[in-house]
Amino acid sequence: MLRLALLLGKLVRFLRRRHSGRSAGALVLALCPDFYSRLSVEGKILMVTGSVGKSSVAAAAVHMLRAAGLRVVSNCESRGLRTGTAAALVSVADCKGRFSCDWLVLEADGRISDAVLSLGKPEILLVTDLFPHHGPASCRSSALKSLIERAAGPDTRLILNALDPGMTDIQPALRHIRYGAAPKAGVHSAINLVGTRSLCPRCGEKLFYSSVFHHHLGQYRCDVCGTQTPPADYLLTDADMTSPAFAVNGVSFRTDLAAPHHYLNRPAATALVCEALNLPVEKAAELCADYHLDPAFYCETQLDGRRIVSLLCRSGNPISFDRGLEYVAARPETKTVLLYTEAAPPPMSADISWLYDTTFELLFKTAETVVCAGDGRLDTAARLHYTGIKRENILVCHDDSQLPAMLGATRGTLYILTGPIAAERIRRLLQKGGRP
Amino acid sequence: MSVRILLLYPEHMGLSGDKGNILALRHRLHTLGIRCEVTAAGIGDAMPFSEFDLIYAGNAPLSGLLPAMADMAPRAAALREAMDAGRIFLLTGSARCLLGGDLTLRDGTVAHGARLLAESHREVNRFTGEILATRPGLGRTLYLGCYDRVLETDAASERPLFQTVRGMGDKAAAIYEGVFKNNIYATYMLGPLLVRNPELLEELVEKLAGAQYRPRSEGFDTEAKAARLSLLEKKKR
Repeated sequence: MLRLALLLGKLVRFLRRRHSGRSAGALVLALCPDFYSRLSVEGKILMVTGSVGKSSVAAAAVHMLRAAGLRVVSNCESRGLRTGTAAALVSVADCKGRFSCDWLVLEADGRISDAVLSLGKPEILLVTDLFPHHGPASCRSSALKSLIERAAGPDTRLILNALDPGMTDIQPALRHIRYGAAPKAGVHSAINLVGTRSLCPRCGEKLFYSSVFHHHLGQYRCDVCGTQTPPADYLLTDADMTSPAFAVNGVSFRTDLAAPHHYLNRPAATALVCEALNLPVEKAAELCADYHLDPAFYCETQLDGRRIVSLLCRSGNPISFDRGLEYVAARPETKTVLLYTEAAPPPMSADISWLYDTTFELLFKTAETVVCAGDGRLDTAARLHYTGIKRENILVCHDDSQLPAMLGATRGTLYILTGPIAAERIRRLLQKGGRP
Repeated sequence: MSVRILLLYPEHMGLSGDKGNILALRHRLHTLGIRCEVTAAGIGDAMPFSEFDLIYAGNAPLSGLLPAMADMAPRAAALREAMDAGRIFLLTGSARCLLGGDLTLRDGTVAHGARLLAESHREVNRFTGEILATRPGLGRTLYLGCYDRVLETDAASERPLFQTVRGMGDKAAAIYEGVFKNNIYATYMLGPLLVRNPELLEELVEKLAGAQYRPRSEGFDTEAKAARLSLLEKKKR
């Protein structure tokens, strides 16, 4: 069955090569449910996990490894973690399910933990953040800690976000490498998020934050037991968000990064590549020089003279949405915001909790009009109603084909906040429908 | 007129979008011209329950629930006084354990609630899902919610808040869910229960607003609920 699944999967990938590849992945997994455990990998594994930011860290690392001339296979370029991973591996495996590469870079969370674990133990495991309550269950700290525990071998090196107190006691027996940001690199309140990380992970007393770096959390200290932000081996500095440059360990990096929450992902990717290849940071800066953020994370276009910016914000994940909302709210121009939200998958389809953990209040008085679309549109509109935004400024689009017309009646820069698949669909709709 | 709400243990509990309930109450009271004052109280803080019109606590994992229960249990007398005085308690998710009896954990240790409700809880494997329910004796209006819990409950001698049409009750195979006693509304449904169920919001607001209460018109929340129910109906067919 593996051979048939691979053959048909490759065929579907070829026929639908302009699409995301998820259909090929879904087909392979339907035909061969134990697909992952039947693959044979010859190559070292880098794994990236966390509640938020794993895709962008993995994508930057993949670029840098390829720029170093290495053969890299990764699931981070596919859409949809479960089916996307299968699709990515279908395209490289031979008819017996074997493939070889220098590095297999895997983005992973609770959805595909069994799958990725069957491929082997990672040499290096990077954890972006561990949020206990935010986002889907597969991205919460309990699911991720279980994944980390099972994935890490005795020789696995762990790269951790120094700014997250949730990482304090992760696998203490393993070698830890940390990345972080200097205290003055960017101070932001992020009250909603810090409010949920306000207790010391060791003694349960109150944590004090002297600075917070754009939702990746920050410099924390517990006055009772002394737990505090550990020093970073890869330290982000000079990220003032206004110039296209920043530094890691004093080495300057050029960047096209648009939103502040993307910055900390660069020292993370740098740490991953430097540790994997035993490179100095200067070399990583060279490898990173021509890296451009995937349009799925940030895409700026003009359509008939109107500026359209789409930002990756995943439904069900308040941190992901908060980061996008913070960016949009800080833009001074007149703007319309399209929130394209999707309902949670069963059995929690009716769960709208995440909308109330997300700081939609940021749009109050900063967005002229907010358009709600997607199957979570009415729940999102109800949430917006409690932010103080006037009802007449909240539009609900019940039919996606009407989006171009509805958006056409709005003003200013159009910000689209949604997941990668919906973003592509909306961009196509707008191009087809003319000026929004 | 003003309404005072006491929000319990915000650093430990209320981490599943539960703040939606406070937002909905505050917004609705505001539309009636009623000021709404929310006071937060954490472990060790003074909690003069009887001085408040509504006391609210939201869902928490066991790591947050257990310290809150330990803090709440010694306050049983003050809680009982507030309950007898008709104060409204709204407890969503695992917060119902605060006013319940014993909670027995897997390792055999027992945490004590304030014992206002004749119910006991046990730690079990995790359940997640959706509930569709009616209110016993209160017509055929359907209520919607979700649960994500590691607890089950015996509350046979208490009046249930909901009778499930779909989804799990207090424990596996139970059709009753939650407790409705005096003005205590306790349910495993988590998150923004009052947004999901505008009828329940209106019931609480009517009690809080008294003579100033006026029925409301349709809103996005009622539309969202109707759409969800219609989707469930389609799936059933």
